[in-house]
Amino acid sequence: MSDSSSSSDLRPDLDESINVQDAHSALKGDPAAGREKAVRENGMEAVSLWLVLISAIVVLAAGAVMGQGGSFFGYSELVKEGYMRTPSPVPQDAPKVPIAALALFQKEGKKVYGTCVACHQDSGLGQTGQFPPLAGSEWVLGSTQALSMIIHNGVAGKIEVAGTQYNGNMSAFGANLNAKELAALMTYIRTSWGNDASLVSPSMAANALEISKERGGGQTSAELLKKSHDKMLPGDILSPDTMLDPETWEPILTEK
Amino acid sequence: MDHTRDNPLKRFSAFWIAILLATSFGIALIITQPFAPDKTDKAYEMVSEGRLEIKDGIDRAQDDALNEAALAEALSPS
Amino acid sequence: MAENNSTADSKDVVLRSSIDRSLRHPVMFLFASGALWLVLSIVLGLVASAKKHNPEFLTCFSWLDAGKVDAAHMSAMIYGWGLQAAFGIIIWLMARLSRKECTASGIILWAAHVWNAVVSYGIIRIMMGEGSGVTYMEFPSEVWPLLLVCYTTITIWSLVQFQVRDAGHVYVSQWYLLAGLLWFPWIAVTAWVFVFLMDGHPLMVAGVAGWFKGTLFSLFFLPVALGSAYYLAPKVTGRPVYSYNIALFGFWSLAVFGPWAGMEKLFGAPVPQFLPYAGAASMILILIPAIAVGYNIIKTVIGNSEVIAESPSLRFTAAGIVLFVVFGGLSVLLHTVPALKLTQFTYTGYGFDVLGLYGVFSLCAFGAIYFIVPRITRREWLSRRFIKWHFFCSIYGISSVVICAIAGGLSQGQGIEDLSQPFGTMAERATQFSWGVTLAWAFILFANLFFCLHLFLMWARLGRRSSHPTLLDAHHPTSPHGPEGEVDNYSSASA
Repeated sequence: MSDSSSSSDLRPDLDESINVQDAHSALKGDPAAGREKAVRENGMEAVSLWLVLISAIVVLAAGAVMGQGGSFFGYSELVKEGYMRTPSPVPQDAPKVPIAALALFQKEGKKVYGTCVACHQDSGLGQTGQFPPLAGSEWVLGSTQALSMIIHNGVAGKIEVAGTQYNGNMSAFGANLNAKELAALMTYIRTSWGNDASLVSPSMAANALEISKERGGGQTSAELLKKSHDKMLPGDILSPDTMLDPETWEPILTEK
Repeated sequence: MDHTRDNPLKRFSAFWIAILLATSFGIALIITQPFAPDKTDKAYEMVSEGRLEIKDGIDRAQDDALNEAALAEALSPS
Repeated sequence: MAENNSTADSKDVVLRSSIDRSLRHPVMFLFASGALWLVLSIVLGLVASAKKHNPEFLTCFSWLDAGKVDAAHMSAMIYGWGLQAAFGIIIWLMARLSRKECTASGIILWAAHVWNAVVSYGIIRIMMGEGSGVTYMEFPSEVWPLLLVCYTTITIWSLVQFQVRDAGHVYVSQWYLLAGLLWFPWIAVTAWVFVFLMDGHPLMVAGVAGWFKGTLFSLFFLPVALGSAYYLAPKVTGRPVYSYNIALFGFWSLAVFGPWAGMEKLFGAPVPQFLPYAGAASMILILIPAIAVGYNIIKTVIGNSEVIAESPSLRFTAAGIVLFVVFGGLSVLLHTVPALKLTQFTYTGYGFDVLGLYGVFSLCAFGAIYFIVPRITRREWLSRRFIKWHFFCSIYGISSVVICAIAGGLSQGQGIEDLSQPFGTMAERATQFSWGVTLAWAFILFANLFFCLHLFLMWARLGRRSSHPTLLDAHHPTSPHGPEGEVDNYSSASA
């Protein structure tokens, strides 16, 4: 049907036409297919020598890789010799792992506390009536100077601890402690069993030893402690999460 | 069109040959599977039996000891 | 431009048009749904890449967890976009080269719908956390038989067409398409049987899965891309392929070296040692077909630089082939033993895979799509600008992804070699590079959004009704195609 008016002739392209002649005539005018070039016979250039040369080099490289793989189809070889590497052994002066102050002091302080555990117990509760508790004790949580005097010189006579009266005699169990050990012990008892007081640094403990030396020795008593030693020890303040060198106990300056 | 090449028989056979080719490896596997040697390590299997028995015993004991009611009560918001 | 080639035999014109009309529905659907999956996969890729430098990104959605979104990204790109684009190209190209109309369009269209449904189901299952965890086979195990059946339904007609083609010599592209069509069922059935069906040794499963990952690219996506390039290069320029012998050489080197690929993933695993080394050697040898094909096609189109500048399909195809040569060169560098040691558990593998999948395959597929769609919709592309943006943003994006990922991976590799540091320190070395990758994916998303829009407009028959193609440079005072006219120029039709 070759009507002249193009509007009635505008069949939607997706319909199949029954009239093959008409369908073909529509297709003959298909511009895209018409301007396509036919795919021609391939050129017959030879494989260039450069291509062969480069391929040979690549095959050599691949062969080198293959050669490191043991025998081809060798199914029993599972592990290549020397494939596993171990890290070099740790040298003697390996860098020390820094440790947080609280953790270090608790660890060391617990060791020193071994002397005190017979009376004041592992739980820090002491013996009712006989040995005062350390847990919740105002003498432990309070002024550090008083505590250091008690440890270094001992204490005798009437003393009230956590609401209970005690009348005993504690000798100078801590007389032989050095500053580090004293600081660790005091920190340990001040931060264990529910106690939550500030840490005692080695410099504070060194000052405590000075004060004790000046004092001249001899057991203290509750009244003497309240009168003369009811203050905090002077010295560097230590915060619980300062990173310390595990050997020198000095704070480590971190990159952060 | 070249009528001697493109006929329904050729198309039919091409269809089924293609299906055969595509599944050929699967068929080869099914055929050869029964003939594959049994490479299981007998010594390892025997040792693992004892180990698995112990494991089963522990699992059973743990299941028996598990108190669902207490667990639910502990987990419920109180 | 040789005029005598363009005024082809009218029988040829009618045959071409009738072939194009017979398969317009399935091919157009495959391309359009593929493009949509491509956009989705790039969005998922963006999220996956963002999670590498900002792990807190979108953690409120548990279905977007890092492992799931990585798996979904690659699965959508391969099975949603890659395979559907490949199907469209295979169907059209095999029909054209065998000079046979497609008689099973309805069945293919139906199978394509089923494919889309199955892939969607698989991706949803992955996001629910029920993926299989096997690289490139993330779908739950029951999905595979359905995919294989759909594959057969879609592509078997092309094999039949090849069998009943007119006598005459077999063109280069047909070798590649035929090979790819037969290789894919082999690797897919093998992988499915050994990984999911048989109760085999776990190391063997890992090996077969690695092999599938490698050969999916070298034995399916690559042949389809090369087949399309070998068809478009002579078609658009009107010149013959430079050398038949080089084409033969390139094809057979791919056929010999390709099947060994993939096991290099398993270095250090207690598998027979020759397997990973064979995989590495095969990936080195892929440079040989790369240079052969690259040389052949570049020599075919060179000297005709205006055509590359003007034709969108040729530009994309040439870019894809150039990137294939780059892929080959990079493959040699990355698969030597020292490089493998550095890059084994790093970002580099991802960059390399994306280069193959997007840089080589997808660019050649875009070239084919820009050629095929005007022919099956009988409309021309609407906007030159969209095509240019698609091209340049894709090139920029893919280069950035590849460079950042590979450089990041090498940096991570140096971190791995420091045996005293923990793994986390090493993994963090690629954080800056993953920013680059995220940005690059954003560019690629931009490019492909426009591509998708353009394609959908063409699908809706809203393209230009013109007898002239959409060329990228329109500076001709007079067109070599004669006066421009309406596409349905019935006044020229005879009674």
